[in-house]
Amino acid sequence: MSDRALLEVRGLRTYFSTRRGLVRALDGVDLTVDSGETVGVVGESGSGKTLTAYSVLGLLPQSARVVDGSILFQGSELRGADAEAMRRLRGSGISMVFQEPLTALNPVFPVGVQIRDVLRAHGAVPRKQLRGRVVELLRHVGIPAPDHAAAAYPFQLSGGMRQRVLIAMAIACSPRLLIADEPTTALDATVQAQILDLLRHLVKEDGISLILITHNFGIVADICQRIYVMYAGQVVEHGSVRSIFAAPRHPYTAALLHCIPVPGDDSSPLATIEGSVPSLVEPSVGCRFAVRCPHAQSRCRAEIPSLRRVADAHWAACHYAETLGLAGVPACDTPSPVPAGD
Amino acid sequence: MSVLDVTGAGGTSRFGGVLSRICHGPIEVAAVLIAAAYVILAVGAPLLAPYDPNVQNLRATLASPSVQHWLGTDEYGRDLLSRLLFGARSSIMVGASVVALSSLIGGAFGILAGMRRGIVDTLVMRTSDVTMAFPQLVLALGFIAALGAGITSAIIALTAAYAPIFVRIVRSSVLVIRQEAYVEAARLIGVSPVRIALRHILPNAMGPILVQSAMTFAFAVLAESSLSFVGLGVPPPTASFGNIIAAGRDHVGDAPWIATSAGVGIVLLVLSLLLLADAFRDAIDPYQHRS
Amino acid sequence: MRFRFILRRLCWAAFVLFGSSIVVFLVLHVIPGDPARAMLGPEASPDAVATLRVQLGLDRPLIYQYVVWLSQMSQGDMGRSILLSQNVASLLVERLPITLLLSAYALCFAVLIAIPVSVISATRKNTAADYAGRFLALIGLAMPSFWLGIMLILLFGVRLRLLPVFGYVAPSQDLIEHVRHMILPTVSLGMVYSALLMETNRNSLIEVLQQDYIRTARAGGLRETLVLYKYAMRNALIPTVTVIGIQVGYLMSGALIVETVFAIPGIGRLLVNAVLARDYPVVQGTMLVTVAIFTIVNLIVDLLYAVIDPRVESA
Repeated sequence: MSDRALLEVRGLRTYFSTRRGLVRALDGVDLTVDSGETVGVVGESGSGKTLTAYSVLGLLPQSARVVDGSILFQGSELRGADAEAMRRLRGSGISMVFQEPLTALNPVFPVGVQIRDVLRAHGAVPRKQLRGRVVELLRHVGIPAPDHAAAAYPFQLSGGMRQRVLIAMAIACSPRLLIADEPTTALDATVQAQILDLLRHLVKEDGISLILITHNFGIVADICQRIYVMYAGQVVEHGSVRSIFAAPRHPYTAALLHCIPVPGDDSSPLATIEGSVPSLVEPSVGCRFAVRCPHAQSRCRAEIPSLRRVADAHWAACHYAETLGLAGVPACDTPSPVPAGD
Repeated sequence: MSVLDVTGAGGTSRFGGVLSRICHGPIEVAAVLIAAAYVILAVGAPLLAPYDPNVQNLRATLASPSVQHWLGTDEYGRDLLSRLLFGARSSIMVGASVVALSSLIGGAFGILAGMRRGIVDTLVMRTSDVTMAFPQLVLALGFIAALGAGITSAIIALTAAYAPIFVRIVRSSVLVIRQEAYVEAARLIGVSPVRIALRHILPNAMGPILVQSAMTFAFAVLAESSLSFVGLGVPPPTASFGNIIAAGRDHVGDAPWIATSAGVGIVLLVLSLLLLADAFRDAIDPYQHRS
Repeated sequence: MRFRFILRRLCWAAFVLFGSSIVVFLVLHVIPGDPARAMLGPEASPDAVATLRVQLGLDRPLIYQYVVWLSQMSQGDMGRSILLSQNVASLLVERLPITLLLSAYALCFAVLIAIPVSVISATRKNTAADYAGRFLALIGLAMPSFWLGIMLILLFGVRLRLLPVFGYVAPSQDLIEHVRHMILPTVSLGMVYSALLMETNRNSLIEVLQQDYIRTARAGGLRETLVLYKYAMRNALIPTVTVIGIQVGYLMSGALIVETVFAIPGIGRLLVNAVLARDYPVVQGTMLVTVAIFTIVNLIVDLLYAVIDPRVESA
């Protein structure tokens, strides 16, 4: 099969052992990314978006374990791979950019040193050329005066610059897949747009596939081709951006979409989704969204819906996906990035 | 408000509540029990000791442990067990005195500095900084050189060494708490500063004070034993762990149990106090990163 | 910016030294009764006492005495020892290096033990190895150094007859003997210190290992040893170094006692004997020197801190 997906996650289950019991943080997640694609993973805090990324990269904390499922990257199974193989993969095959640029960088080393260490860890560049490569990378991500920047400490740089540094670190060894976890949340609006432009540029020019984790639908509409919507550790809907925006099939997705405030409309109150993400220690038998769902029926509480195809390139996990007729949002009308949900 | 209330974390609990908050596990329980045991032994030493600790019996010197003398006798034929019990008494006495005095004096100055600010604050803080510039035993020795050796001098000397820490702790608590709205309100109503200090500030500072008290107790016991060891603490013939070890040192070849047992006596007491300090710290700190 | 920081620390150190000198000076004057009489003993004749009083300038106003004393001290004239009939200054010059050597050895010993143990403890948090390490550290902290010294003497000196139990041999005289004589004192003195360091570094390391930048380093594919020893340690050492400085006071206090146990002719033992004999010039001189060293060490630690942590601009 020449058309093999770059990343294929099937039935991923990641559980935490805590004092209160076993937390089923990820309970059967399926996710695919093809070469050159930009895929968005959306959901509110606690839905498991970041955890999925950690599970793929083997960065789980000690109390968490992948208990089931398979993670295929370029055809090889990552789950159960040995530690050294995973280490080599991280940074060179799959890379990750994190949310908080300040805390994500080591405060006592200049940023150039930190990038250089990534390069050295994968032995891609001969010693003499390391410094040059670092400067080149910084230039590539749009940092002005890159040779000065390389000697700077993280606290001396602005938030946007730090994020660019993190991106530089992530692409240093030309990974095939980049996972960006809320890369713009901690930044202000103008800088957000710049970072997104950078990511878009990297995808186009360097052919990197991108998984963009966010709770911001505006960003998703901007640069993603497909989205996965996650709730309480499961994927509840996924498909092309156009299809989902035009006609969401899962009540949660619809609710999230309608949380985006429309600029100019000052009269209608900000929509919110009542309630909060349920505890995952003893997850409910039925649909996990049923408690908060305005359309919930008795079947929803009793039987957990499975993901099924509801339209062309569009899957949803809701018993009434076809019949609800939920209103969508025109994808091209979505305004500049604003926070949704939460 | 009972002096046993622990309100550092914002809640008020009675004695039983305090105990349950401290005793997270078997280690903490053991620490509390051991410390309590020492206090009981120390207080009850005159009743519990099988022999008078100062009575010599020159026909039975350096005897090894036996039925008559459970831990043997020292170089003057004095019963070791009795001497150890009274040694515990000395340690507890000196330790408790030092803790009480340094926390009271240090606390008072801390409150003064924190509430008054300005020159008073600067004066108090600079003085305590200078005091802390001395290694503790060196400062203590200085005092003892001036005052002469003895239990009182030792207590005074160690109080001088440990009070500045309490000044700092209390002062920083005061600085934090006095910014709270209810303290401001009380001040505006016209409540006297003394009342404010006692009613509002002190209970909230109790937590760190308690932790530091346990630690100071531990350090005071160690310091007192060191001073007694070199002959500048509890004066012989009064028994103290330190001077028992000093005497036992000369006979460490043929009667090692003397020095060993006294040392174990110190280690157990200090260990339990340090564990208590840790337990207090866990109990008052709501943001504990449980390891 | 760094310069201002250094300047401020220097001024601070100067102030502390000045304040300490006042305290040391007052030692002689807080004595209940007559200092001169106290120094000479109760049998001394009134004439001898009177002479000494004049000699020491005790009949002049306090401020005057202080100024004179301070200027003498700073010029190196610290008086004569009553007990040893020797210049205090020359006594100190003789003995200080020995104490410094012992302290340096103890410091090295402490660091060599504490760092590896703390790393093991922190990386294997809450396992048997961790608990064992922490327990040993706690016991080390609870042990009086003199008692540890005596136990070591019992084991290595008396029972096993491996090492000498007292005295001092200068390295210039005989290096091997010097080392043999210093082993037990070093261990006795260093044990408490290493316990402190171990606990501090462990906690610091645990805290650091939970930070985001460690996760970033791992996500970049860095080897775990690099993550630990470069990325983590550098940050973890910052509070540890601070503690090292603060606790040098412990080291110096401990040196007093350990020197007494092992009969090492350092300034610690000098001080103890001087206090026992009420030899005030020696007491004052030694105290002053000790404080000066402590203050200088703290100063160095602060400056070191500024070097290690680039975020320090102005403290």
